[in-house]
Amino acid sequence: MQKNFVILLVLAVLLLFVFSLVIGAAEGKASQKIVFNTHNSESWDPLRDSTVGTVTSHIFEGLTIWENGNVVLGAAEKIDMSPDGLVYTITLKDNLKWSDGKALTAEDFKYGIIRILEPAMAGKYAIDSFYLKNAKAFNEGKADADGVGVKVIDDKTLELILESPCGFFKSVLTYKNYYPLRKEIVEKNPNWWMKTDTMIGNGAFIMKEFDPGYKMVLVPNPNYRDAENVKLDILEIRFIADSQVELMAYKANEVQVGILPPSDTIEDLKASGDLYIYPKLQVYWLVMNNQASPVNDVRVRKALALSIDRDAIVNNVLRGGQIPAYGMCPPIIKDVSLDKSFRDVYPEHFEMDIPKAKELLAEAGYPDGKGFPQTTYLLSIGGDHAVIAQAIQSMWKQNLGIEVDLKALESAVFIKERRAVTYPIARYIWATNIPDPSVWLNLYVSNGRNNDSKYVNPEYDKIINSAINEPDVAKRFALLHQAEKMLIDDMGVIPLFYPMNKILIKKNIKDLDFTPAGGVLFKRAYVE
Amino acid sequence: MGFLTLIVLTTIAFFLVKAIPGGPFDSEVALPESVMQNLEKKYGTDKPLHEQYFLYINKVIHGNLGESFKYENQTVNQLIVRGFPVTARLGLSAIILALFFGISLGVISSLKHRGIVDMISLSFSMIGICLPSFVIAILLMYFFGLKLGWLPFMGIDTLKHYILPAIALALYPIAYISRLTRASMLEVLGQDYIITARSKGIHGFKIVFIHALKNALLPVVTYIGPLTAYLLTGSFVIEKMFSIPGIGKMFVTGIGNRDYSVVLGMTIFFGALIVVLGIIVDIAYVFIDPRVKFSK
Repeated sequence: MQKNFVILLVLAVLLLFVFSLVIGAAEGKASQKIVFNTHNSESWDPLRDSTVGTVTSHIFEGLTIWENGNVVLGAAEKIDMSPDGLVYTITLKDNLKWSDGKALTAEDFKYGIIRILEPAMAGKYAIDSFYLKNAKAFNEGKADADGVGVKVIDDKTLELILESPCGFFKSVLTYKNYYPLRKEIVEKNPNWWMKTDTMIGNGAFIMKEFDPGYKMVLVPNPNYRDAENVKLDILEIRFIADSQVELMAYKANEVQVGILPPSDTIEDLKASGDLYIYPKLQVYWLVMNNQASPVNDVRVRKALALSIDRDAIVNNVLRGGQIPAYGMCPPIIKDVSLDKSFRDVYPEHFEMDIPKAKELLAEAGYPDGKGFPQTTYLLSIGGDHAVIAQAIQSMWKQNLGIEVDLKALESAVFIKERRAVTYPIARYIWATNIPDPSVWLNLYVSNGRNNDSKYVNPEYDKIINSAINEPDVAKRFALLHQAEKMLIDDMGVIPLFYPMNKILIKKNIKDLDFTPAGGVLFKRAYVE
Repeated sequence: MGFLTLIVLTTIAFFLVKAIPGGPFDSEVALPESVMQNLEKKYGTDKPLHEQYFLYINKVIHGNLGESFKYENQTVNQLIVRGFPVTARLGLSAIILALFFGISLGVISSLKHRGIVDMISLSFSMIGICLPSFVIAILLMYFFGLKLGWLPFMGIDTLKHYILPAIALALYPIAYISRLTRASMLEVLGQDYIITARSKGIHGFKIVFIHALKNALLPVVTYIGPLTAYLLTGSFVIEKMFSIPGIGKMFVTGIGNRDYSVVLGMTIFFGALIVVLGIIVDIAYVFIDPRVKFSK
């Protein structure tokens, strides 16, 4: 019997030994290599990229690009705007090439721009191209491709004609909607982006290896217009979705830059110097059913808004460097003159004021919260939504004496319910690539598709409409300030805070650049 | 018979999945009307439900599982071809570990009945059965991956990469199989024919392996069906945690994405797999238990 036990044991050990013997090919440690973990996209075709565009922005380059927090010229040499703000004449830089050496021309840019608008393509992000004349009509099948405001003047010159003036159009040009594409490659195979020999771009890197959903290896593109400034030898991109696993990989130095630091480790990461926090173009706020009791009463809405301690939420609950919000525009967005931010010009539309909140609630007929009807706050499962909701729920109870129920639903169901405005209060969060206040303010026009607050104010609609059609930058910003003030004076929504981008970065990674939407740029990065 | 099962499965799954609130094109900020219309036209979701069903069933019968709603321009067939070999390799490693260690532990426990080994094995089984696989996964990753640095815990670049995820997946079946084997062996070892064999002078090795184990393994063989189903579904969590690009991860994210084609396609695929496995188990029975014969 002993003999058999021993035999079994030996066999077991042998098995384990055999397993461990098989050592994978040791990757030659390239000196300039960074492993970056980021969100996955089911498709890396720029038309279908569902992320902020970090990955595709390394393989392709737009007419303009983000650099050091500003929008600068990328593939474009110069951009001239007509006095009425409707025509942009773009001259490309000299000798632009694709990664396979072929010449890059204005026609390639036109192809990319038109393609996302083709109805058959069913491009989800087509809306970011609707600034162009007839783009929307073409996408709806009501106009021809030839009618769209994109004209090739010659190989180096492109003309873009807009529907109406757009003060931030240069930042829109950084979008993947406006990347050039190789017509003959793209039309030959719908999955061209999956293969290294057909994923041809004009960006700083080319795709050397690709394992969908798992790993992408990028190496410098020798034909990139600024190739001499690209310092990395290898940029390896991973798609780990779990924040705890990413953190473990970061600690094991398998990943050097990560984007999912778990909320409960923020303090430790800040202390160890691994966390980099920078401003994000995002607002977190609450919508309320402005047409149904009890929140149809502006006094109730204001009471709810004034009784929330945003500093406590940001400093004690979230602790991620977020900024309390008393308006609907993140502080990083610039105003008319670039040396001032929108928030500098008009900082706070209100502040926490619990006595005033109590007073307003009493005026509305609910002194000390008595008689306040059953109210539900809707949120989605996951992330920090629950802790934020719980904090607010307890603040309302403590400061106003009202009981609000929390209802957490799965994301897709949550979106459906919020859109149907089934509940009086719901959370809302929206980030963008466009550094302009209209992103959030335009949501609340009376018949807006995304007006989940059912905020109806014809005056507000007029101001927003004027702003959309105003070519003069100063006048436009004045209108936007007016609109924001009106929205907040009516407390059509309750702003809560401005989230921040949080990134894990190893201390020896230098010259990393970022986009305000949360994109990470490795063009000039290197390992010290 | 199996084919009919699959048709029924597909039908029920189809209507269930379509009944879930929320759709594949919903997003925080709604897409413009024209974009929504283009999407619905492309995927045929603008047609009436029964029409969608018949179109889908027709496609499935011809072996076409449709195009993914989220992985645009990629068919579910392509996704399965890409992801299943990975999941299968992981599952197979786990099955080998589970059978080898499960049966060994079970046999040893039954032989050293109520001894130290038996007690240790019992405690170990309790842990394996009670701890969820993702807890085991994190513990393994943390200790063997991060703290000790012995084994990798991200992806599947080399064979070494399969070790931790396979162990995480196999712990529950090892525990379960060891208990099953132990109980079955104890029962068999007490049978008359074993006593006869011993009295005839056959001892030790021969008794255990040739006479007893073969019969004791019947319950284990029966378990292989549900075991494989568990490994396929348990792999979802493990794949996500270890960043393994298999189909398990795709299936789970497909539900959140309301990716109807992926969810239905995977359901049919797994259903077919289980039907095939059932047939294999039935055949295995014939060879293990001479009392079972093919029916005319």
